[in-house]
Amino acid sequence: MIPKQYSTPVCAVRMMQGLTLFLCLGVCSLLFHITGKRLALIVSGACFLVWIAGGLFCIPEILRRIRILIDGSKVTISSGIFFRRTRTLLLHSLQLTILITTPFSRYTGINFLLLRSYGGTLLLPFLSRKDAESLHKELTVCLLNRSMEETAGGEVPHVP
Amino acid sequence: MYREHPIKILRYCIRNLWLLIFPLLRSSVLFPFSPEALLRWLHGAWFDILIFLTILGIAVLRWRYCRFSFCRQFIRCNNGIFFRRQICIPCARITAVTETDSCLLKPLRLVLLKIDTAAAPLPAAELRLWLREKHLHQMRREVPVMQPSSAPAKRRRTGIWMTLLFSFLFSSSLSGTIYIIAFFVQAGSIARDLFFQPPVMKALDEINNAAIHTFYAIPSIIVSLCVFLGACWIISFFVNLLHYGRFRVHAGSGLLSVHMGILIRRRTYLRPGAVNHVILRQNLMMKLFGVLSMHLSCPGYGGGRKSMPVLIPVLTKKTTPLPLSALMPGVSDGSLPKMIRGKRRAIWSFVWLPVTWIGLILGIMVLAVQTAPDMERLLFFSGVIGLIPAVWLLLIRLISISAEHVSFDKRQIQFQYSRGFSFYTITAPLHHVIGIKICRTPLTARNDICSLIIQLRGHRRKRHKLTGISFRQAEELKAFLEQILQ
Repeated sequence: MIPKQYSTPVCAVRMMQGLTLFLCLGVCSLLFHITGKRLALIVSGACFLVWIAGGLFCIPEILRRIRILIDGSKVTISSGIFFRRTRTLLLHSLQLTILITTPFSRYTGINFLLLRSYGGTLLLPFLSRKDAESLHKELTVCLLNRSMEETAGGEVPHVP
Repeated sequence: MYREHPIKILRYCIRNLWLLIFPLLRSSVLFPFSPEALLRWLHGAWFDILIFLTILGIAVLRWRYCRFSFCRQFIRCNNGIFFRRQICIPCARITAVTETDSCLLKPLRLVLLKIDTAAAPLPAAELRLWLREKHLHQMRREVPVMQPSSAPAKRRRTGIWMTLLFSFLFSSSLSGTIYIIAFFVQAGSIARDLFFQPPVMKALDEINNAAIHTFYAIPSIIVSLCVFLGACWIISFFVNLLHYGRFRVHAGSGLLSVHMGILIRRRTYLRPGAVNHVILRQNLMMKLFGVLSMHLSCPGYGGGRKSMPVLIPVLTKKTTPLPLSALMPGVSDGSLPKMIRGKRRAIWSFVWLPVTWIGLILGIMVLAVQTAPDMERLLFFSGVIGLIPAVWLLLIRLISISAEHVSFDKRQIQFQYSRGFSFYTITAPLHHVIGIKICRTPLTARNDICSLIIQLRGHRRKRHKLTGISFRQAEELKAFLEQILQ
């Protein structure tokens, strides 16, 4: 397997920003509907400030700093702004992969890949559709390859 | 790609039944009941129909979107409406496949199939499919773990008397009938659902009244408790009998399948290489009569609370156990040379818990009798009931002083110890040991003994604690394991 690095696509960052803005607007409109105008204005202002800080700076930074590195023997994912967290999964302990996609994920970039292994699960978040599908296929072929080596040996089947 | 059986739509409907809360809330207009209220309710019936159609529509969509396929190399499944999941399980990674064949599902030609891998979260299976029988037959032909081996398989059948004995022994950990721990730990979960049925409650009330009149010297609360626990034990006994009845094991090269159940028939196909370790389990009665029960740790088999991972329900001296090499490649059946035994000078490490328990009960009884002499009879019986398991545990701990040991060679490890009210003898390949820890307290350090905690590979992180081991021998074992496993 050729070493490859994956990062969060820009469309996923934009999508998450849009979703958080939508959530903020929803909360504000609900407050306007339920409570008085004065309180709703204060809370809406606070929500908007939180969105500017979170949606415009934190979320893009968190997503941009997710780095997924795959080589022939392991998958490494590092994330976090101030405290970098790196998790590694050795491919020989991998049992199966699960690809999770959402509608219009080609444009939203909300695709996940779950790697299930002995003792835990590693989530590879926010991959582009193309990356997620190719990675899923590549890891599945790798798994089948290893299984064939372990058992009788033979040709690796075509994975549709 | 195939679809599951359409009956799965009902299953999906059940998941969204909470939506019926809205029609239920709407029906509150009926109170107080009047013809006008009924008319008003009927006028808004479209809302109820819409909710019902939503539940059914979501279920039908989910069923339509769930598809699966299989070949000799892998099993694929796509499901979900909004979050689409694509699972691809290589057949060589499958550890267990369980077919559940209920007598109620038989007319529908429907079988529930659970597929597990070593990474499956407990208690859920990696993949659960409601299959048509014809798809199951196709799957049996394709998926290697479900195929019969070409070599002749060793077939072991458990007779009705052995099943009865197993159900009797494992319906409570005390092999008795009366104590609450057995009820809550083992029988409780099974019995709870059945117990609160009105006919059962009525029958129990009658038995209870009769018992109170018969055992007039014993306080009524104690009699009621005993009747309650006895009834639960009986229910548990019959549930175990139905679950483990018609028990059969087929073992051959590359094949291990377990068939059990009377009303609901379960066939589990296990990959022999996936077995983590073999457990020989005994309670005090079984230990005294030299009877064993052979269990195994394999991902996907007997992981739930209601079922035990039984391989052979009852093993007596006359019956020969399955060869360990058939279950775990590389493990031999012969006796192992190196042996570490529990030390007799560590007696307090073994018996401190039951002795403290007995002391506390006696102390509380004396104090309570002095404070409330009117309730002497009730306190006496409560104390006796509290003392029974404590004495039982004391006996188990005393026996485990001589029974506890660790044996090992370059390929495997075997150890026997007691936990709770049971004795365990575990055999595992040496490379399945994932952790070993030595624990000492100031008291044990003075006697040059320690506790040895062995952690084995398995779907549950269970620690096996051996008490009263010589510190020097434990250190030797640890060094040996580190050297071998490096």
